[in-house]
Amino acid sequence: MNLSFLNSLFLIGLVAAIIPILIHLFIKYKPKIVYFSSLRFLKEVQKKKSRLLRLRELLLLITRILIILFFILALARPVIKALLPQKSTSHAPTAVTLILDNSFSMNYLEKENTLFSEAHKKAQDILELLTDKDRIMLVSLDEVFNSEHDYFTTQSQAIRELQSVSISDNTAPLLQVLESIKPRLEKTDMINREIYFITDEQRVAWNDIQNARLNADLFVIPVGEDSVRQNVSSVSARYIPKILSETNNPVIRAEVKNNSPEPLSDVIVSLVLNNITRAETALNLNPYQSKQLTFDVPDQGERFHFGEVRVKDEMLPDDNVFYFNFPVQSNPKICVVSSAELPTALSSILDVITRQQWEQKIPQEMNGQIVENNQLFILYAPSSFDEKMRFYADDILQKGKAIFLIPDEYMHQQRDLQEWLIGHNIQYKNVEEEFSVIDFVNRAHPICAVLSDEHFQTAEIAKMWKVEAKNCVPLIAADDGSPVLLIQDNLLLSAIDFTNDWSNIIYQTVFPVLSYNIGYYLGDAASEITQYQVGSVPAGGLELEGEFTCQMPDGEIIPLTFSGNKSTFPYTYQQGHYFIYDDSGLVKVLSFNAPREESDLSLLSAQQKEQFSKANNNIHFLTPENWHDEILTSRYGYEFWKQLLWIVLTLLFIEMLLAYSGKEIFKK
Amino acid sequence: MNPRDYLAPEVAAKLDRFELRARLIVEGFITGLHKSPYHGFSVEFLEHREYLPGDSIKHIDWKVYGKTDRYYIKKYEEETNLKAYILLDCSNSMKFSSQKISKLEYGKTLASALTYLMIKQKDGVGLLTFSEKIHSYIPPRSTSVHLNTIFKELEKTQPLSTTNTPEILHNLADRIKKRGLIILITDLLDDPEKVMLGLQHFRHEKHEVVLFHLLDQEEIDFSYNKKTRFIDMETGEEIITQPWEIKKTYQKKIEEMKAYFSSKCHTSYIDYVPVTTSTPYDKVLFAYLIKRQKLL
Repeated sequence: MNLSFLNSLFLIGLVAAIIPILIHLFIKYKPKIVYFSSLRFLKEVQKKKSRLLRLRELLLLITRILIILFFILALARPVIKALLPQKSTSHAPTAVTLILDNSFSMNYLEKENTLFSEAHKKAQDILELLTDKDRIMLVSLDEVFNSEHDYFTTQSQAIRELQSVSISDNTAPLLQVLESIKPRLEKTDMINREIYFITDEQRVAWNDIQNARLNADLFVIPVGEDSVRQNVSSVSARYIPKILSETNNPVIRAEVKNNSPEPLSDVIVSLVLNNITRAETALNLNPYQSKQLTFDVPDQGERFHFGEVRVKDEMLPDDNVFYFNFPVQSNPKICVVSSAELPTALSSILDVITRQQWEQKIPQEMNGQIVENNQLFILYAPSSFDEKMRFYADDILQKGKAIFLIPDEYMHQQRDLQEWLIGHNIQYKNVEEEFSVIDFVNRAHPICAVLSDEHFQTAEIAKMWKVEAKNCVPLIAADDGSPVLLIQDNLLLSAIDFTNDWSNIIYQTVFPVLSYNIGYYLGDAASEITQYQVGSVPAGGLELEGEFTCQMPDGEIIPLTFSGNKSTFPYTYQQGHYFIYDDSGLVKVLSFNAPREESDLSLLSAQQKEQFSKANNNIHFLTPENWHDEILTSRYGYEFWKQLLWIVLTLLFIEMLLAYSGKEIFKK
Repeated sequence: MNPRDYLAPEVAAKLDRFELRARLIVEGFITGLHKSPYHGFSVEFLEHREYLPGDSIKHIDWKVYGKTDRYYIKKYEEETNLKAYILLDCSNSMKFSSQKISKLEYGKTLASALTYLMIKQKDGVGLLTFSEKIHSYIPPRSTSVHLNTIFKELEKTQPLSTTNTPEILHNLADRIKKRGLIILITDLLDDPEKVMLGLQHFRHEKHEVVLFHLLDQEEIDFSYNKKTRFIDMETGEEIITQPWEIKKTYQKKIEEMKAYFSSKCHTSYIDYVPVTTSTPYDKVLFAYLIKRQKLL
């Protein structure tokens, strides 16, 4: 039996129960003294009556103690948990929070029905067990839905609202949902509070649940019977431009994953571009295996805006499609800060990649506006590096923009520059005039991702700076181990001057690729960011300003305004393409995909459940067989202070009867 | 003040002297009687007395009427050999009083009134006060002077010690040889059977016995309504009780005791007169007179 008190502080008052005992023991009533003629008869009578008298006094004492005890207990407002399983019709009023797992994994098809429809049915069952005295808050794992349903309502209203819960691609972990409903649950004035979570028990939703501090019991009601579930998902798809692809053609690089513990054969993967299927292939996938695919983008002179990589999987369709779009071919914004003329090899490449839009400034000309307008600053043999220049250099790095430092052999004369570099733990020590070749390319870095040391086979270095930089990552290194190109965050350093005295690398085919990569990686912040996760709101970096219209994935067309870093997207929780038009036509496509963690349908193991229940006493995992009976057994019973007060009244009556019984007889 | 008022015990108690009390009570008593108590009592002429309403007209001295034109009745000197012994219990229990007068006070007044009445009738009266032993004994005489002796004795009588009525009774029954009238005034808070044996002893010696069983009204009603510590006036024993609890049983006991004496006395030809301290004296005196008449 589980007894608890709402005003437990009053229990201190139970000490008062000793008052009648103290009175009984220590305070003797001073009886009236009467000198009586003879006690002969009195003694005889008293003998007979004394036992009865003592019994009555004892009863009176017990009654008085009980009056105090019950009165204090009533003040403390006790509630008692039901001992035996009760029928739902007789439970105490309860504040119930019903959480419906509406993550897309609930869309899994089992026996011709989705898990979600089963969850719906169970939710309906639970709601029907409740009565009009209960208060229900119906929520899901979708925070957007929850923000609109953050109130307790009646049973009938909750049954109506149940229809509005649907699968969402943008769901939050359970812990987050529990935290957000906690204050609302606390605000209810009801003693009995319970949370029911109807879920497929997929593992991902349970992250960090042991840290949850619950203020009510959480009952986990499972749906679905299959312990092994099949799912193959399209995990990613990305446009790789021609110059970066290994095929000299632009390609789509995609990844599909088998999320089941069983091998899958003949998984059909297809590429859809501008809504037309362009390629199809079949794959065999081992358990939990990911495979990368490369699709050539057909070069038929047409312009592609968007595409999808699809896998065929009827069990769980929500992660079958990965949406992507083609990057906006913007111009990298590059500024050369130099008093000297840039080597021709470099300047001609800059012409190509920026469409001749780069600018050159001498250090003295630097100002805030120039910093704002450009993304990459190539610092080439600066004649001076005064305080103002140092300030702008720091400002550039702080703002997430990039600096590419190309030295000449007189760089050691620039004391100020040397000091600034030492401040960044970088030291250009001396120029070594020794012949070396390039034998290391760091492919882990995006700038070199498509290159290998073979591309540099014919590249030779005649002289180079010995650069010491502890925190830098080498991108290209010579055979003696000295770095030729190295990077620290967004500060790229070269050990060689790009003139033919230093190296023939400028004549190699790899040089434009490298320069292009550097240009796009460091100079164009906007080229890759048009892929979003559902729920995020795109704002800055899209080069969009003003009024537009947007066609949402469900076909709805809405007005949309971009202003600085703000946009007026009403919602982005649907997977798919968001088409943005201006008066002249389509200007941008934004692709939204659901996070693929949901694709992993691994379920909580029995050990994990046990672990969670142990870590948090309030979590109860129920089974498909027992949930119906179990959810009601743990309810608190009733508050019974009213009954206690009735007992107190009855006892008072008995006390009066006992105390005055003798006197009443006397009156007769 | 009407002489009959003095028949009320609380009124009589206001008077200091027993002589006065006795006289007023007896006079008041006699005034109310339709039949003169003196009638037929005596044979030898003593004096004349003015006729009072209630006197029999056959005692009117017509000769005197002829001379004086007033009604006088002849009074005769009594010639009687009745000796009465008033036995007054003056144990501590007699001290009990719930109202203005205690049982002893009532008993003393009653004794004085009886003495007065009897001496006036020329009966010899003796007084014996006792508790566990005899405190004083005045042998019976019938002179007027003797009246004062008894009154004085009554005035100085104080409650004393415990009761031992049976022994006193036996003792006295052995000592009084001449047949007489024994008037016992007591609260009878003693062993009833032993007391009864003592009384029967007197009857055995051919004495006439009148028993005035004197109780306080509170001793009968027992109407205490607070928790009370009762202290025995004789033994000093104590008992704490809630009187309302035991009242019924107590009353039953008292009734049983009265019934016992009533029936036992009846079978032994003893006049049993239950009296409370609020009983008017005339009722008690009347009981005596009835007894006295039987003796003639």
